[in-house]
Amino acid sequence: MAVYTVNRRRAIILLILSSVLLLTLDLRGNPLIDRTRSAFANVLSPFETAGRVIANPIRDVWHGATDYDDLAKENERLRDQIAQQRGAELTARAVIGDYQELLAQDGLTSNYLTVTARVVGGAPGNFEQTVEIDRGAQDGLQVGMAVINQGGLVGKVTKVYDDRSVVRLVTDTDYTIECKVAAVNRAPGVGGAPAEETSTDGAATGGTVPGDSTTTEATTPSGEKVSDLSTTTTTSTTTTTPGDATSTQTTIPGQTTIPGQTTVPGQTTTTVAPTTTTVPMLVTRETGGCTGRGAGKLPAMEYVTENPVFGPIAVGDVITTTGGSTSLAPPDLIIGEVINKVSRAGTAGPLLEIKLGANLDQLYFVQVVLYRPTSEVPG
Amino acid sequence: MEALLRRPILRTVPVGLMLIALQRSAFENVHPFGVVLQIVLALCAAGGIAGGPERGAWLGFVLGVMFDLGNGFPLGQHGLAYGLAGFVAGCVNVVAVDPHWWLQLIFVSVGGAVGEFSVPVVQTFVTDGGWQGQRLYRILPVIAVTCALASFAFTPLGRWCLAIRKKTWKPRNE
Repeated sequence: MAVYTVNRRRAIILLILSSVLLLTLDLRGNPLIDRTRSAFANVLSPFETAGRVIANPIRDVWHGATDYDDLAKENERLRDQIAQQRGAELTARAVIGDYQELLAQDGLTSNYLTVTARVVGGAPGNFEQTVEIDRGAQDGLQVGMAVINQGGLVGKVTKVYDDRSVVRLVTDTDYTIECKVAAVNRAPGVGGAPAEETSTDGAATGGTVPGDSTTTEATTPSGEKVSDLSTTTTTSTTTTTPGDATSTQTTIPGQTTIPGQTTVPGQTTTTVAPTTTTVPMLVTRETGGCTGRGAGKLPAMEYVTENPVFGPIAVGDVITTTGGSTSLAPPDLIIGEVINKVSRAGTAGPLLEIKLGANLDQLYFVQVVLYRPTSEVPG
Repeated sequence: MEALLRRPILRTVPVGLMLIALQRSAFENVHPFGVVLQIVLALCAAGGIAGGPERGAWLGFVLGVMFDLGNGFPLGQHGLAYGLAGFVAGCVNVVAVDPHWWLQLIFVSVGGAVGEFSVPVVQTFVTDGGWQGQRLYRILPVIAVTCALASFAFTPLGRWCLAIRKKTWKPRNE
């Protein structure tokens, strides 16, 4: 039997040509194909529901039998993690409160309406990083809207049907978003360099005053103590009452006497506990592009020109979205933190590998931000 | 009416719908060695075994286009890849008139692997993401083995979809 025949050659040529034709039509945006796709999704829906009804109990039994030990261990680990994060969460909550207040004062707002959706499906192939959610055009979703969860940015909506949508994850190689590195300014003498603790008389004490220092060891993602990153202003009030015969001095325990202060015998001194105001000094260091690199690889931030004026970018620095008219997402959504910094030769600049804030392996519920970037609006 | 019902397209479409639904539900979270099993691809390769390269390519193309439609991929991406899988697997009928079962397993494995390999190759041309096949060394063996195992069930199904009667050899004097 001949391996190469006219029919066989014709079959393979037809296959390739048909596929290329369909690809060309689809990639150029054919409304007929879009309608066909939507209709096919509606036809497929009952089959899929039936498939889930049949498959879910079997899958649950399988996972229950095989993953029980792992789940128990993971549960313990997560409980520990929650306990550790409780302190950090309180600190973060205070910082966010201040931040929102500042935004409100500036007439800005970061509040966008969101739609909560349940993740109902994963990627059907091995080369895509997508999930499917149970909200669609009926709920106001549109292509291009950002998807987040409590951990941070998850991805963006790429296909919208009536009652479901497909979300491309941040890790997909087709996903790129403008982002910025926000961190504490470590360079001395620039803008918000960490200020020294000052007393009311303007003299730097050069040490921690017992009794008015922050006792929690809250740290930023980069591992620095929050107390090191803040401007601390200490105020003390001294009330002096003329005395008569006896000389008494009342000092609240833990309060130190400010150097240079003279206590006159025969006076009663009352010292009020100092108040401490903490203002975080986070600054934007660099902007760049955050790109997914596929399954099993961390997303990376590229096009970073490290400016020595702002000090080096360090592991743990927070990466957020930049926002703006061309960005895929509103500003200041958390993407993740720098977990590795790869130096590259030439003008390429460093490549920052990002540990995502959102755990994409365990997505159950997400929120779709009802914000459509102008770059995603057709025409 | 019976002739109408024997048309391959009328058999392939409902079978494809069911398999795509199963792919998106039952096999969604089953990832042996971190690989998503591809049962639609397995049917394409098994169809090639049953019907030869031309019919295998046709079955793969139809199922692939359905897969693209159902999953929001660029139309024709999986059509081409799965068509190639069916074609390659069907070549077993070119090298042997009545191939042994182990030869069929080899061809269906190779067909499945070729089909899965074609997906990132086509993606490289139609998306902005560049080459995405870095994990192929792990994906291809798993896909090849699952295609081979599934072919025991899918070869008769592919034969039914293509409306082909099983070959039966009769003595000349009958």
